[in-house]
Amino acid sequence: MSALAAFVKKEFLHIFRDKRTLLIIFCMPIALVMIFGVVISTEIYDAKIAIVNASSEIHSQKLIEKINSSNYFKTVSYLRSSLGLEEVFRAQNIKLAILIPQNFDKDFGNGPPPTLQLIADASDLNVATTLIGNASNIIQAFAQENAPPSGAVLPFQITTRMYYNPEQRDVFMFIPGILALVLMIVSAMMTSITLVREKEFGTWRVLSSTPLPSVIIIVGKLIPYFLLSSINACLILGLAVFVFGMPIHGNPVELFLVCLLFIFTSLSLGIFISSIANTQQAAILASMVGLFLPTTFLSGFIFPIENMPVWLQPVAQIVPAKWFIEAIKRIMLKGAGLGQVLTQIYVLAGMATVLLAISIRRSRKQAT
Amino acid sequence: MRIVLALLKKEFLQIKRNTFILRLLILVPILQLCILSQAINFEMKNLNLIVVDLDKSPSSELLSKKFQASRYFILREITHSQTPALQEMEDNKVDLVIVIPTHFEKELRGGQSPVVSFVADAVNGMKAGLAANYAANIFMEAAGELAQQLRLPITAKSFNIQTTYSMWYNPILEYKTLILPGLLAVLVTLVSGLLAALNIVREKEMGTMEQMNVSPIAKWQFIVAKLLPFWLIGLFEITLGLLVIRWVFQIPLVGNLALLYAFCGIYMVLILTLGLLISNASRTQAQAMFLTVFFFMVFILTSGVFTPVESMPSWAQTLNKANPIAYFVDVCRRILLKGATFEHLKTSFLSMASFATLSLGLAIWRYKKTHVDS
Repeated sequence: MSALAAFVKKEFLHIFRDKRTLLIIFCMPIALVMIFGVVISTEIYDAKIAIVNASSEIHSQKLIEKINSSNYFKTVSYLRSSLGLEEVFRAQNIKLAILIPQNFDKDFGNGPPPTLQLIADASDLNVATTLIGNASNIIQAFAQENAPPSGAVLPFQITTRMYYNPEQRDVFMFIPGILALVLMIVSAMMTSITLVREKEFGTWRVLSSTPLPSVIIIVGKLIPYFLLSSINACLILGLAVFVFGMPIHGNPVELFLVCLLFIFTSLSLGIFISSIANTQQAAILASMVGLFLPTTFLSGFIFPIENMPVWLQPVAQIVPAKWFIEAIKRIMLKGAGLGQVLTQIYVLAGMATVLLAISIRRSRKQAT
Repeated sequence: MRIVLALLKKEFLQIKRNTFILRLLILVPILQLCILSQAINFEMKNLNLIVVDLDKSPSSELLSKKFQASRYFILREITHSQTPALQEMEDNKVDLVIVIPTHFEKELRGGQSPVVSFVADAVNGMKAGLAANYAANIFMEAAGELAQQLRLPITAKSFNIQTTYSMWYNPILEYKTLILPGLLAVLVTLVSGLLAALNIVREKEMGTMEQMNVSPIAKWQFIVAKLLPFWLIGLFEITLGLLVIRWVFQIPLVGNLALLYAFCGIYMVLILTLGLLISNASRTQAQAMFLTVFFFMVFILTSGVFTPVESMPSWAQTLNKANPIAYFVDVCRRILLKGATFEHLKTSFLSMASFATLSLGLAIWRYKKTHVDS
């Protein structure tokens, strides 16, 4: 046991001497949480638009005022006809054009319902859909306001309740993914690189010729990263709760236990990569392609898995982060207990077992 | 010049012998473009829906049926009790529950304006908002039919305003056309920047850097010889990516490709010299990787590849003026999708060229042949 303690101490010394890496390990979660919490959002304000008004009387003027008074849009160009609209799109980089037809003022309120045309720059489809949604809402609201009370558009009312995240904060959706990504980077990528480094430099031989059993060496290598990752998990959860007001509806202890399980799975992934890679470069690139990218794109972190094509959805199932993110969301936002996330726990534990078993077999083979 | 050539030969030999990296260089762009582009999709389809019909009247039935044919919703069931439906939501099985209250039809006939409630699983706030929006739109469309069925007077029909919309520059509404140029930009940046940084740090770690330093190689010769191979690799990756975009995804590349390559050439100088700067600041490959991943990740996430730049706060949009990846993504999209010309892109070219010059100058200045282990 004292041998293990001494070994862990040695590893910690290595880590603490590398101030830059240490700094990045702790800056990365903070930077990521801030980017996702503050910079990235799906709401669009002050989008540049053009208004083509062929009507220009009282109602259309009121409508334009209403559009301009919302903070969703900023009109940068007024046109009388749609000629030259294309040039405005290209030169002023507007995202949406609202075309008010000539008969708008005449028909609104006493003719057939007039039709407004919205033209969106769909080269960014998300922007386009969001802007069209925003514009339609404003136009509908305008119609409601100007209709007499008896003539509501719908004969009934709709109330909407947003469960689990009433203010629809994007950051609540991103935090579990950030947690997964950071834990994955620190535990899986870092361990695989340090383990392979020993191989590459031949110091692994030195280590294995010491009287320490190889299990102790590997465990000793892993413990520091296990601790660093746990600190990181607390850091991210702390930021989420205290800066962004994300609730933890479930039991915080259970939440932390799931984090520890995921760290364990990530560490076994790191060991697995180190057992197949022989150079640090290979380990780095393998973890980039095999861990970093899938965790970012295929885990449901940013992009929902339900939106993926059917053939890709099974691929997402083998990404450990997918299960972790699911469990975290359910514990934090839906207040689930460990009993309700058993599937996720079993899958993560199973993945860790399989990865460890394969790595042990491989290293035995290499040793003989 | 002879020295540079000899050095170049060494670099290419080393790259050629590393079959692992070579295979990666060819496979990664193809796989990444083909798989990741499928995963990146914000268009909400397949929203799971349960309608809780507490009224069981012809009117409530009419409304529930409207969701069967919707392309956004999968109507999982029409039930008559609320609790199990909400339980399903807790188990992630349903995204939206619509509750039509008892006496719905009776109140409609009485002109009392009954309240239909939507309950959305807002863990993914955007998705919840869209689901509620789509459902409300379906109700709007059904309202006329409902009114007709119940013979309700709709007096102010003409106060309705209809909206139609058209999508320019992407008429088939493929999110992929947008994401592919973006992914290509990310790919080229990560692969060549990381490789260049790792390559030099490896020489440091192995001690072969010392040999280079004591040899009569000038600073610029070293830098040119180290960066040129990766510059070419970067352009190769772009070519490969463009071929995938053109032939696998069948997306027409409308712009001037020479213009795109010219921009890429300048951009690669910037990325590679950044890689060089990172390798200067690191002693181990792990350090270099962390620095690269950290900085590039921040740049990529704020570049507007995956989320619209328009939705960022204005200070972040201003900061983005110093984000090279944002320029690159923007220029790639504008050339490839909109056919922008040099005239349109002049400012981007100028900014990129000044970034590249600045970074190159910094890299030459920071690279010291004398061994200073900081």
